[in-house]
Amino acid sequence: MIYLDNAATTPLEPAVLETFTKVYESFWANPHSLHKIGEKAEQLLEQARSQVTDLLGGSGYQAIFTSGATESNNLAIKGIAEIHKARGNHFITTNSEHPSVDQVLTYLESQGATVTRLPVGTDGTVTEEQVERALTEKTVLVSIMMVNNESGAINPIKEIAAMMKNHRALFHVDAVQGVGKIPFSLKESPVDLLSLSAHKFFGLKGSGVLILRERQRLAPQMIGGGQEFDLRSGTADVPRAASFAKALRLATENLPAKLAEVTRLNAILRESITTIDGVQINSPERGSPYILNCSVNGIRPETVLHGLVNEDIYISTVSACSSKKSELSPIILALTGNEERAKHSIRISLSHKTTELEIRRFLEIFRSTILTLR
Amino acid sequence: MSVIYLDNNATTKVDPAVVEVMMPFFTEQYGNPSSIHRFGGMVSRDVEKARASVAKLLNCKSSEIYFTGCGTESNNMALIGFADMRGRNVTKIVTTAVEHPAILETVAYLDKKGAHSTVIGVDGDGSIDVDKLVENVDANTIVSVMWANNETGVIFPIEEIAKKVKAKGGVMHTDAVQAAGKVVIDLQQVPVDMLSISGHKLHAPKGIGVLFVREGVKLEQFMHGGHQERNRRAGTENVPYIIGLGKACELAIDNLEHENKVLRAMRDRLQAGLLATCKGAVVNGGNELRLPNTLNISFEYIEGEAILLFLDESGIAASSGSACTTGSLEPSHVMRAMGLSYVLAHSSIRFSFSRFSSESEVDKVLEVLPAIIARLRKISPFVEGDD
Repeated sequence: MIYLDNAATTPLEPAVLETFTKVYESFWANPHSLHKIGEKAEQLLEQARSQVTDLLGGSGYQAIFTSGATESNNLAIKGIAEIHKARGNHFITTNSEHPSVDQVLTYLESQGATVTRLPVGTDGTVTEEQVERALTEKTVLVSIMMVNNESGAINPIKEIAAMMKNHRALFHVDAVQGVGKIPFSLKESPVDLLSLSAHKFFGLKGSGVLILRERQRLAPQMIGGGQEFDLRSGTADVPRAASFAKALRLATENLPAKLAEVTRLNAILRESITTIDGVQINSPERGSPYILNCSVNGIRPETVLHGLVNEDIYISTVSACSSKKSELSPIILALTGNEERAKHSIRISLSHKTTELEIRRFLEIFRSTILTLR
Repeated sequence: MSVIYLDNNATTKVDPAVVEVMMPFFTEQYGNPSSIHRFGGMVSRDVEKARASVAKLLNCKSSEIYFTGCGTESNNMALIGFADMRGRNVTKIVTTAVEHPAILETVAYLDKKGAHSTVIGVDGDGSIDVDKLVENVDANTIVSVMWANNETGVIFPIEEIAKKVKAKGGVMHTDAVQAAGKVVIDLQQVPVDMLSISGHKLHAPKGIGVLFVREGVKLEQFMHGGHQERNRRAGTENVPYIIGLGKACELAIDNLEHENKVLRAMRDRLQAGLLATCKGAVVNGGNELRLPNTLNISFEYIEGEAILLFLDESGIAASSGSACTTGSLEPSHVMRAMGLSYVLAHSSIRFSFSRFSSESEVDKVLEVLPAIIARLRKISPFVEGDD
């Protein structure tokens, strides 16, 4: 099997599975219980928590464990909206966010909020100037993704964070496709809130984190026993938390070398794909090398995908989170301004485990599949 | 040191059979079930099989089962989802004083946001006055009553309550987190509209829950994002945990009747033994129908925390109050609602058994606890005339 759908999900790293099973074997008690085995579980939970913020290079930040990035995004946006309702009701985002940001903002709009959706440029990103121009006294939150899940476009998070330093509005970043793949540090990019998902970097599914500044007020969206500093109720899953920390540590280890290798593979892909008739690359040149989006003119993306599946190669059409919904990718439409391309886009997504052999084999089959289909 | 774990209402150990079925889904069948390719599609079929197993445990349709991130989320989704669908200002909520914080705190939150809530008390045995509970129910009312109480194990007459609530046009939710897998739940028989369960109370992992939503019941979306769970719960499906929960439900179906008998016998032996050997011992909720695995017992004039500490030293993990009121040393709200004095409420201990409990563990508790009680009574300033 050649798996090139790593932006949808990744397999669990065996070393992470080891952590997971070990903790489930020995530290499965409820970390909120007062007995010794509960206390031990709690210690492990807190250790995992500080490891996560340490790995992101942030002092003055804390990590909240959630059931995934969708929950992290919901908590960040609704939690800030609720707490700052009296001050303002204006939000800034882009027109290319993941549904778990976009749909939350659409919901807030239905509740009376105003949302500015900045259009991305031809490289799929927004600029700090665009954000600056949109900021008003009523703006409470800016939510912009680090790396686009369909195009791989990288937004200037560091620059936006620096520009917003003196503004009252908070800055939330959905870093699901970024952290663990491209270098990031909270010290360099001091954002206010950051959403992460473990299963995009060889961790568990159902495992997310929301990073926020210590003492940042946030209205909890899941109410109950008051776990996670009263910000997120529900019994903490200690094995999951420990696995998150482990997966993040492994993902960020030797990151420059991994990134360089993926960049090299991406260049091979690009170079070869541009020579295939009727295939256009949608991903911007300077985006994340982990994602390459292209459009195959005149052939339905599902047809291409199924042709490849027959050869045991897995890529995707639009993102898994919207793949059953629409025929057209709004993200590729926003990026290219071309409906045909948006209707015919496919996504090839790599990981640091992808090999050159796999890429070469994929290219060969991809080329012949398209020829056959034509 | 191997610990005698009698705190299974706080959390349970994942059954090895559950771990086993989860394993392939971590590293081999790791596809995203929402992907349209076969690799995701195969996984999606396994998710549906797990859904069917949950449905079988509850005797409902698979299409009425929604996977969530935990029991707390299920409870929040039911109450907030209902309130947002009807409008928070017109929503009426009726619940009991002995619910889990995931219900009580959510009700308090909705009350603050404009909903109208009524919290019904319980009597000394921990039971509720059903007629009072349903008195003011109308079409804008959601009634939320737990199937069984987490601290006392007292089982509420959910079938009767649900029928009365339905007759008045209301919507009925039950938090069955403590009941699922321990007693029979038959949703063909019991007309609740929504029901919450939590994986880690029945030997599945933490971080996975279920909300049963009966066909036709409308809810506002609680977690916004992708189209997963038929647009009711966004977020990539937590495949391994879902598979694990499915297996846990199958195990519960197979073992429920047998475990019921075994655990009840253990619990009853522990209860009788403690009542016979410990001065001032009172069983809380003992006159009511209870979960077979739960014993809640107070020891007059003694701090529950002190008992727990000594038990912990002897390698026995039990609890006072509930783990979910994190680190709180306040007496349990359940005991207070039952009208126990502050002193007696402060002295309650909960023993909760699971399929991994054994008779020898009961022996050990019966061996060490009476001596702990006698010792603590000696130093208690409240005890008079003990010798």
